[in-house]
Amino acid sequence: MKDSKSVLVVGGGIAGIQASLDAADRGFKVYLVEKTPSIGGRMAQLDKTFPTMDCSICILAPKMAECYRHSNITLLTYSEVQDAKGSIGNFEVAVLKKARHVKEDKCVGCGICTEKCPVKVPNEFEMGLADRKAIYMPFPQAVPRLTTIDEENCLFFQKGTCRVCEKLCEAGAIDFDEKPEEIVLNVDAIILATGFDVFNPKAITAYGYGKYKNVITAMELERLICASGPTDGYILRPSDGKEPESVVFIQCVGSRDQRYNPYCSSICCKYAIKDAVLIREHHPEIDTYVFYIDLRAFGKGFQEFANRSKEEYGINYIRSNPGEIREDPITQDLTIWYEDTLTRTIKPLTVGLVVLCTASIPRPDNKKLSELIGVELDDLGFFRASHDIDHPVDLTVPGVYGCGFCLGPRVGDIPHSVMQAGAAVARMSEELAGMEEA
Amino acid sequence: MSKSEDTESRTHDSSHDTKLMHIVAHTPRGKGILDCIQCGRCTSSCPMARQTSRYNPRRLMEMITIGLKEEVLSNTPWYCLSCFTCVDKCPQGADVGEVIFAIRNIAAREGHIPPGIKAQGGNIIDTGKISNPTKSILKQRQEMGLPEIEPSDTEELLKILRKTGFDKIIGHK
Repeated sequence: MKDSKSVLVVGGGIAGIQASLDAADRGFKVYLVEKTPSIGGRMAQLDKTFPTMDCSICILAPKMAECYRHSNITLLTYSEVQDAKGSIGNFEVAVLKKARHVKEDKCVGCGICTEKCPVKVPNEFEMGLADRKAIYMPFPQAVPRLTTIDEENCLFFQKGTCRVCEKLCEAGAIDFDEKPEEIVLNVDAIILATGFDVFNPKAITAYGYGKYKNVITAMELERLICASGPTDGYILRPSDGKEPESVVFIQCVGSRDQRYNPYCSSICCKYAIKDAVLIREHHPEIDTYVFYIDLRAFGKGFQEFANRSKEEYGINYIRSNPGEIREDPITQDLTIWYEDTLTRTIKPLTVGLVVLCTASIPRPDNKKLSELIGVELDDLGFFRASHDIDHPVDLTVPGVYGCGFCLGPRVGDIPHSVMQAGAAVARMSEELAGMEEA
Repeated sequence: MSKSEDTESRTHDSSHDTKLMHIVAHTPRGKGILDCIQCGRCTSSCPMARQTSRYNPRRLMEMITIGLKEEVLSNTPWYCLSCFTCVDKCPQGADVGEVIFAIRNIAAREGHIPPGIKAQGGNIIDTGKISNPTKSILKQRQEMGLPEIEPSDTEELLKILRKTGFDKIIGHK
């Protein structure tokens, strides 16, 4: 048998992490490319997972650490695929390793640089609800555990001054001269796991996102409800930092909408139930409402979870798609006009905080990857499977597979992403073994 | 009565016209009925629905799909102000306001026009205007020094109204 086979995994969220671990355990040499400074993806941002209410990072962090220490996995974080050619069994992929200006072999992750850096910018991981520094570690459990200098905001790169981090770093890890590096990899197969982006609800002006401070997205709520988030897990309104008396979730914001995303995003009903339950657990005094069109709680244990949320936690479900939200300019409370379609009553409801459950949309990067690798996208911008029923994780180029939400909203939750990762690795092994025999 | 019997009797109830949805869908402006998912955003944003419980655009769409012809062709669709907020807000592009126009047309053809609407139609034929100023308004205008209201030129309008049978539909003599 020739040298071990190799695979490039694009995207370091739960799907890409699981695919890397499964492939590495099978003896594949794995290159895991992630464009941000740390692997972890969306799952790292979540507080709990539905329907079991397991701590999200507690499940994910050991997998992230295992990716880092696995002898068969090479992590290429802060890196992007630049070029790709070849075919199954022989792909040549160019990966651009962006300059992070912190030497991976020297940084010990002590954080003194971050502490003393004078520049504050909105923290992407905290969905802009907190600040980070120009030299930063994206989140406490980041892998690899080292900081990164963000050139766009660093005083040295913008104005040629400062260099405080360099002076204070005892490990001598700061390297302002580091240049981006292109690495060429030869791999037998490619697995794409680019995940999803969040729809920006500013487009739906009637809901006032971006105009009213107390209208937030569900991803923002995930950070608010997280014990390690910017409010230590207290639900506090962005306008005044006070606890709201009531919270409303609105479903299908940009999903099931012909003007934006015609499909059902498949996860919003379920995470809204979870978040509503979490709010009641953290603050039993806050009234919670979920406005839904059809409560799509399909899958193992979800309907039971939805029922429990009504019976045990007293979540109020209202079958309606509200028409508009208005803000009281003094209290900054929000009034929602709605028709309860089950009782046919039309009335206003005034609440302290509104959470928009926004659509999950394809990453813009999918287009570039599809052009480089030659795999097709579907009409929505997700990767097209070569056959939706027979080969749901094979993409339209042999030797290229997909897993997780980048395949579209099938059942876009974590267990299914993990399953698809396993399936992609199994299909890859099968096809490469078939080539060897031939 | 058991639940299944109840459903049975409702399905065969003569008041349910199962063809109604398809008739509406094939009427000009009516095809949006096929796209409605009953989410209720139209009613949630409808200014008229906030004023009276007699008007509910989502319920109208529902009644069309169920085939409650008598209710659909009653006074209900005539409450619509034609502001088209529902068309603007509908996530499915079901063009609710347009469907309302489609059922008004069906209602008119079948002779279900509220007396007030008929009177307005008559006014258009007689004077070219939906409504004419009352004596007190004319007096106020005079006091304010506003010019007298000129009669409208209805010649061309009358031609169209006769050709389309408008006068017959509203029963104008």
